Amino acid sequence: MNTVRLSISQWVAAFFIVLSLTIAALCGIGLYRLYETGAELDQTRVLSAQKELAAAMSELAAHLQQQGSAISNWDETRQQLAKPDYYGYWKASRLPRAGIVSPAFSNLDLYDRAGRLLPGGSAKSEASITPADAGKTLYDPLQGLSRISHLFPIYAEGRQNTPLGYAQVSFDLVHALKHLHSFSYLVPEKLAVRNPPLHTLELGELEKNLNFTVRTSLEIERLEEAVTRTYAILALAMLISAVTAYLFVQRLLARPLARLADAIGGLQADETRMDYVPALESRYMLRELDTVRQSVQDYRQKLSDARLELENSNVTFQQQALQDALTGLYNRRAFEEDWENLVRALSGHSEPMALLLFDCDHFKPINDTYGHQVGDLVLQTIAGAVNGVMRAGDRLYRIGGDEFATLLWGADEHMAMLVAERCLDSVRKEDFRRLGVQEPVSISIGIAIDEISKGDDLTYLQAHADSAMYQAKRPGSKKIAIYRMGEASSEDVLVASLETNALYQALAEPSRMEIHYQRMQPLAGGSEYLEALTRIRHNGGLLMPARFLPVVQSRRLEAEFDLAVIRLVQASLDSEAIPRGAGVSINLSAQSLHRPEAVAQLIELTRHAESHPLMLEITETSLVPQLAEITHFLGILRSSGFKIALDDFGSGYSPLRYLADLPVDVIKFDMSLIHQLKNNDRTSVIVSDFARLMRDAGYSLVAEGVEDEVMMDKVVSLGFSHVQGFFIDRPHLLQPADAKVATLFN
Amino acid sequence: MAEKILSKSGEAVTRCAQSPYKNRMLPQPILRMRRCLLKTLLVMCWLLAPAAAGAAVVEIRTAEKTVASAEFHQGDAAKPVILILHGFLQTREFGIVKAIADALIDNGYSVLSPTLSLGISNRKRSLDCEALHLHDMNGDLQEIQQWVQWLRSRGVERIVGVGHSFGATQLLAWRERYQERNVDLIGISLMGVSPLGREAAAPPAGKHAARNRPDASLVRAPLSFCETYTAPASMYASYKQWSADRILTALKRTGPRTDLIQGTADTFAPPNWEERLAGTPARVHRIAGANHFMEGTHEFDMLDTLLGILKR
Repeated sequence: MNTVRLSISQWVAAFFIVLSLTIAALCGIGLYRLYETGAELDQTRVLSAQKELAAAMSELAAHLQQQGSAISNWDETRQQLAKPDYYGYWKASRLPRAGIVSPAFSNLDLYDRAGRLLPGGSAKSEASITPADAGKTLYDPLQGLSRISHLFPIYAEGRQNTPLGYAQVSFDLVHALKHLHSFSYLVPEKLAVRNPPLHTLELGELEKNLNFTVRTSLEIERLEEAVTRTYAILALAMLISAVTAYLFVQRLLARPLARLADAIGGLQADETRMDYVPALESRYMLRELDTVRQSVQDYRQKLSDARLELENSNVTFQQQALQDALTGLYNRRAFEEDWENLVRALSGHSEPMALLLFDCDHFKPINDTYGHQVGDLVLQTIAGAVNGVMRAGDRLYRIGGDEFATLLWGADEHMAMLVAERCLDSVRKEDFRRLGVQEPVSISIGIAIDEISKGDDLTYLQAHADSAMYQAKRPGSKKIAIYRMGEASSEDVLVASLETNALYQALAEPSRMEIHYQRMQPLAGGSEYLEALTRIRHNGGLLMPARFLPVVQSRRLEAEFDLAVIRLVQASLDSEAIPRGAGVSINLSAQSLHRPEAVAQLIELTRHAESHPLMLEITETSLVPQLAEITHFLGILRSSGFKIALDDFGSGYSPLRYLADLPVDVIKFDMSLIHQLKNNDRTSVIVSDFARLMRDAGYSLVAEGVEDEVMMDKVVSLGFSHVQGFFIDRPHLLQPADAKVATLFN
Repeated sequence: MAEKILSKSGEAVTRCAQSPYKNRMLPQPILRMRRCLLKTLLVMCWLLAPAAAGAAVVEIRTAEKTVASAEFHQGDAAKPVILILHGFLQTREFGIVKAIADALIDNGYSVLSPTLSLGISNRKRSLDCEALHLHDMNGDLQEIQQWVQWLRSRGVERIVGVGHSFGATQLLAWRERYQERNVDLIGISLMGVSPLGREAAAPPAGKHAARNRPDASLVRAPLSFCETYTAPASMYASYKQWSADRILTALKRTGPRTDLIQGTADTFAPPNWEERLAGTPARVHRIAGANHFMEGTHEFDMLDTLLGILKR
């Protein structure tokens, strides 16, 4: 059931309205009863008035008879009838003073026995009468009630057969009745003839046709007036009481309750805005309400304190929520919020915006090698270094493990490059050796610049910066890359996302991957190896490793990728696409060595070891993490028949320490070192000497990137066991009956 | 002369036979007590006694076609018939007149008590002073003559006229007019019609005398005891001429058979009236202390005097 909810003022108003209506109804009933009684009395008064009229008319008739008798017995009447010579004088002078004619009647005229007015009679009098009307009281419609006439026959003493003449009394009916009767019930002045007839009426008939008005009872009138006045006083008293009570309740209850309700409502409405909650400092007159007020006020104060504390906590939490705990920088959430706020602040116009993404190079190996604590210190150092050279007001965000970002509002390309170079420089200046990290630590910076409009999404700009980041991380890059639409490098970057897709599709469908093999030609006997180089077929073309390997590394997909390659190599072996006797060299990341399934898969290959010598090429950088564990697995694989080659030697760091600790059989000199051999400078000497040193240490040496005969001669002279490069062979796809391979091994 | 005798009903025409006025030897207080008792008995007799035989109302038609009436009571035939005439504008029912008639009837006299018509048929009440008076002295005298003739037509030989106030004057005038020298007259409180106390004043001229209308000849002026008396001038004059002097003249002419009973306290009487009457042949009987109407115990004195005169 719905509960009616009204304010106390409305309830009070409603109460008084109901009370007023009740009293008004009672008054109405009282008045109705009074009027009903009055109506009954009126009815009674009508009957009484009828009787009164009848009585008055009877009195009039009797009075007329008396008048007739008096006139008949008056000697002077007979005198005038007998001697009418002075009738005019008599009627005018004598008759009014004689006291014979009743004051109820206004006029008396005498007529002779023929009905003619006595000579000298008034012109206003009827000139003649009808003797047959003798004894009748007549109403003439033409004369109205103001002139009723009664005709008396005047007889001589003892002679009733022949009248001496006639006397006619005329009178105003109302005047006569008023004179004869004291009316209590009807108003004689309002007597009127109902449906006035066209002919004369006798008194009896006239009475039946009289309309009368009943006099209002003075008692009833006074009673009604008294009751009405009483009701009026009552209504006034009610009104005054209601208003007084209303004001009283308003002051005592309604206002305090309303303020309390407002205060409580305010507490409920907006918990964060205490200024919306009215203060309840003034005391209330009602003790109970004042107690409630005090409670609410106390509660309000406590709530205010709690809110203040909560707000402070919220600020702290918000700060914490937006702050990276490790570096003290803003975190990814702050980055996204700031982006939204900035974009939201734009109104109908666009502003240039530069997004700089920072990524620590080789952070994973560092972290894995030196431990998380050192890794964290490296990140803190990088954060401090970069943050210290940011523009005033710009924020640096840590948006991933080793990824940082900043938004340069209003920055053009020049400004973005300036900031990026400053950051790069700042990191270079940091001494990471104090952290125990011997290898140089650097960062790569991807920059995306665009005109930002309201509502723009961060995703595409971030993707652009991400793509530029991959560009920056490419070998030989300046560590800073700007995403430019239409430029070749940017085109590469642009397709980075496509390469990612191609990579994921290839991992999902290994048939998209192709293994191209490149010969490692032996120079001093021994087995010849085919290095398995992966290509990804995508959109009708081939993606080279330089394009998708950064994706593999950044997505930490090394193990999955290596597994796929191993399976493909196994397929090549199973299909006998690789000529018998030819060795197979497989590139393997250090991450794959942690995966038992990869190790198991590699061991599976050893069933072809008799016909195909097997070699694993571990890239120099991939050896960094978990050296002991890798050493253990490499030992297992070595004992299973694999030769272990250290790939790209000369391009990473601390190769000597690795060589000392790892079970390496072959060292593949990176093409950057091999190319140095062409120069007759100190570097060439160092490389040559280092090659001899490695050879003397028992390692088999492989020269990569040999592209011409000069370089061929040099490596031969330096005692390299194998040579690899375009001068020898280009990577190519093997078929099961590949003639070229067959020829080579024959 | 037309006449008619009607039986009278409801009229007190019979009195107790014994007159209280005959015993004059009793002491005065006892006498007055007896009179009161007798008056009470008289009233009771009047209320209880049936209509007496012999009482009748007689009507005559006057020369002016009006009907005049008189009450006639037949008494002792051996005694003279008394014709009692009322005063000015009065009727036979007037108190003193009625008392005289009753007393005479009680004493065995035949009494004829007419009411002068004054121009009104069957006049029953005194005519107001303020009424229009369409009668004159001549008509009154003719009516008296008619009543005398009516008596004589019934074989009455001896008639005594008794008149009160102006009735006595009218009887005196009648006797003078009709030369009835053998008729004895007894006048009680005889007076004329001059305004009281203004015997010598001339009658005022008629207000409407110059107007050529029926009422133009009317005169409104004092007459006798009437402050305002309205009548045609000639009729007014017919009464007006009967001043004190005119009465004295009439008395002197017919005085020997006239007795006058005058109250000594009659304020209506002209000045020195007794002395002036004494100068006439009429015999004047004084009632000490009596007023014009012989009221109170003077009525009995007057009646005793009257009866004494009749017995003489």
